[in-house]
Amino acid sequence: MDLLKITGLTHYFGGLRAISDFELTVNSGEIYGIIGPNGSGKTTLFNLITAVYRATSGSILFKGTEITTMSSDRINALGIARTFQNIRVFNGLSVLDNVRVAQFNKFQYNILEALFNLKSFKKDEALVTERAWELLKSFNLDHRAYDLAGTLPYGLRRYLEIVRALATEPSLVLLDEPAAGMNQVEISKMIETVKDIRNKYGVAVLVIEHQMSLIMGICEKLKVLDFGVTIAGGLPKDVRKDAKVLEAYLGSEVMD
Amino acid sequence: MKVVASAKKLAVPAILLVGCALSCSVSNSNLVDRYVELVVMYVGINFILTLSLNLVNGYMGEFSVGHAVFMAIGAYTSAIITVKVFSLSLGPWIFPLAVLTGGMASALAGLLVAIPSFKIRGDYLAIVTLAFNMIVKSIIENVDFLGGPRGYLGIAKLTSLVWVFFFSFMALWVIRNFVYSNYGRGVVSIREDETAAIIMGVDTKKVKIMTFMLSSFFAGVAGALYAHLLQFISPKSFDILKSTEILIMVYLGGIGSIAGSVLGASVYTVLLELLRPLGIWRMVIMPLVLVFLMIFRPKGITGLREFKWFIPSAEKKIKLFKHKV
Amino acid sequence: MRLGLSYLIQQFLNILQLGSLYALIAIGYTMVYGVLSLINFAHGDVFMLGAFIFFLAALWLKLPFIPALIVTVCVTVCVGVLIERLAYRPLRNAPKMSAVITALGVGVFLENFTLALSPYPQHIPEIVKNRAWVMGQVTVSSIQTIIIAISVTLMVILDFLVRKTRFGMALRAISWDISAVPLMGIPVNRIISQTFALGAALGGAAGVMYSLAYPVIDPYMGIMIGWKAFISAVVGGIGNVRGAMTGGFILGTVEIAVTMFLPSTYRDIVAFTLLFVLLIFRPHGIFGTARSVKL
Ligand SMILES: Nc1ncnc2c1ncn2[C@@H]1O[C@H](COP(=O)(O)OP(=O)(O)OP(=O)(O)O)[C@@H](O)[C@H]1O
Ligand SMILES: [Mg+2]
Repeated sequence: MDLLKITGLTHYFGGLRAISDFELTVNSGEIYGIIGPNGSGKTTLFNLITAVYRATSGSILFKGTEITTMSSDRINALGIARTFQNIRVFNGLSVLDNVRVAQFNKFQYNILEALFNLKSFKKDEALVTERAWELLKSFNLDHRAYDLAGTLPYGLRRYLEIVRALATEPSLVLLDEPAAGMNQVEISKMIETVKDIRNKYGVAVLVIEHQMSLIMGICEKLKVLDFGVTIAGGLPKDVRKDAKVLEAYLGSEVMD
Repeated sequence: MKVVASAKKLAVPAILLVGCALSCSVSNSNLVDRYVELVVMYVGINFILTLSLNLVNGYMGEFSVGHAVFMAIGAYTSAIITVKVFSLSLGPWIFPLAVLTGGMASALAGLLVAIPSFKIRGDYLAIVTLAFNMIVKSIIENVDFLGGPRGYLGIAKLTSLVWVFFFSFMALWVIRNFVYSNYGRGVVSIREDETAAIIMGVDTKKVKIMTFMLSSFFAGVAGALYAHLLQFISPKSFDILKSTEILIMVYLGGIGSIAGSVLGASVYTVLLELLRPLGIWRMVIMPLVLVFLMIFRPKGITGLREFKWFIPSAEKKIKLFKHKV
Repeated sequence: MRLGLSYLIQQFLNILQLGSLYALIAIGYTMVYGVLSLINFAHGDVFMLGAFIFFLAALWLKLPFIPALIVTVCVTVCVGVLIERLAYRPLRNAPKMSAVITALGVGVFLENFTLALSPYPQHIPEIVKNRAWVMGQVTVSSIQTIIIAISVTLMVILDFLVRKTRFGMALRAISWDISAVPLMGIPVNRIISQTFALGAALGGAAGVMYSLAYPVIDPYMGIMIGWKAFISAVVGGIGNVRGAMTGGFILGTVEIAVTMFLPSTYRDIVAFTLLFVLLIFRPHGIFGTARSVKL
């Protein structure tokens, strides 16, 4: 079944058409790439899917449910999580708490059980904490679990964002330039991580990236945006030969 | 191991019992000077106020400047109950109920700030809380039933050291539990980055409602204790000056920390008493102290650190020291 | 007839008088907020100081009105600049809350300092002979005329400063983005000092005029008037100078209108309820716009 199905999505910022008539279908467990020059509307697309902005028109279906008018936290509860181009971890919370708070949709205890420190609260808290530890361990962040997230170096904060996204138990994660500012070695590690997200956790991935090695290495399908318009789409090997794509990228990026 | 675990389980009721017994015997004997006892009671009430405001301003990062309004609602509600609804002779037994009812009325009023806070943030929300403070104060001034601007008379002195201890302890324990739960983490995530929080599934509306209601509940409790200690309340007791005083205690002690609220309330209250011989000049010195503190220690006395005792054992390892808000 | 034309004209004059006082103080709040994103809680107390210094100048120095006004404005300007220099500047890069609380502390300090020196409300001697001209059923007093004339003149001058001078340009640039401004060769510290000076000058002048109109002054008078002026600034969209002026007149209108129909004790309830409702429907004031978040 289609996991995510976007049709006719259009968004204006004032007079600027940031996304126009966008179509996309992502299947469960797929790794899908979005590329395009700076300012072509990629991040805007993510912001529309996660309801940071309301689309001017068009529809977004997730697992068959219309999410175009839902609030961000409900969308997350349905199974979409994301990372941000400019990292937005909760600096004043510990690494562990960043992962625990992301399970907000998951724990069962109610407010009174929490206020009076009752059994069900303690049990659920233990579960939440255990799950957080597991995730931190598998991404090698456990040794920094008690540090404040704001004290982590850049690279680790990127990984923390990914862990935090996975903690919400999504079926689709949106990664916004996960390898930005990384060197070749770090990029290969990130490639493995993205593969893991799909293979180990069974989560579909929609990834924006300028690093072609990452895109070409892992994406099963691609969409290319330019000034909000989809100029190409399909298999990576076809896209890289597309004349329009080469033209859009001419002078800005190299396609390999 | 098992003994340790069960000892830990009993720690909270044990402290509560011993503390109550101790404060009861103190007020019934002549061991402690009455004046000292009174100051301690003020410290307790101010602590509840400070911690409850800290929840909103420190942990959640909003800026409420009208906290005294919730005190007022708790004070007037409880006073009506002890004076009008039940006769004074029944008073001592009805008192804790009246205090809790005051807190609940106040919590309901907290909704009136919580709901606007969905849309309104930062300095604009500060204005909303201020406006709310002014509105309620003016309403009380215009209602004869509440004594109007002259104030409400005939309140019995029902607040004793035991009750102050009991409610201070409850405030500390309950707010600690809240802060170290996933709700509490949600509160801090709103402070750190509200947009990211909601996208990561934090139900920010629910969190805001709970935080404002919990905060105003305890402010109402403090107001009720205050009313039955002073035996006289008037709209003037709950104006912007009072709200400012609570703000000062929060930031003096340190935001986002229970220890900060303990220290802020104690230092402020005791210092004011110690400086009493200076007369009006103490009120000149206090704000100067605050300004110097802010310039040289902008994070307050504790600066986000926490007493070990106030942290649940499972959470003790988290390093809160190096962070800038 | 209660609601006759002359009655309305009379009330209109009252609105102009009250509104221009709010507007003058509101400008100080809005300009400082524009450059530092800081609610300058001490500003209402600078207004109060203005009234007290005017009182001293008139009573001790026996100055006539205009010299007393000038002396007052000079002193409040010094106070305003000193507050910024000593209390706010050290906190320019500190967490924003520390600066706000410092502002609150400075305000309480000014109030209690004045209170310690002058524990009782003071009566301002009659400096300006209050003549009244009767035109039909409308009475125009000389004090009312002075207040409205001086306020409007000051506002016109200020509007010119903000719109047409290098200072104004720099001010608007800082309000837009303080971090980019030093790159453009704008002396940020000087502009900020000048902003405080201007705000304090208007606040001090408002204090003088307030004490002409309501000659009983006390150290806490700046709190309520200050907050109301701040509210005017919020209503107009904070950071916006013309908005602040408009907000002042809107609040003046609301308050006078309420006292026309209800007992005056209801004035604050109605004024603040309107503010409450306004903020719920227009969270950034009437003329303000939200700066959209960009992720
Ligand atoms: N909140 C906003 N208000 C106004 N315009 C916006 C907003 N957010 C984005 N834009 C504009 O929309 C266009 C698309 O921006 P977007 O951030 O989606 O680009 P992008 O493809 O993610 O670019 P990059 O590769 O640099 O991240 C740009 O022209 C941008 O300036
Ligand atoms: Mg982008």
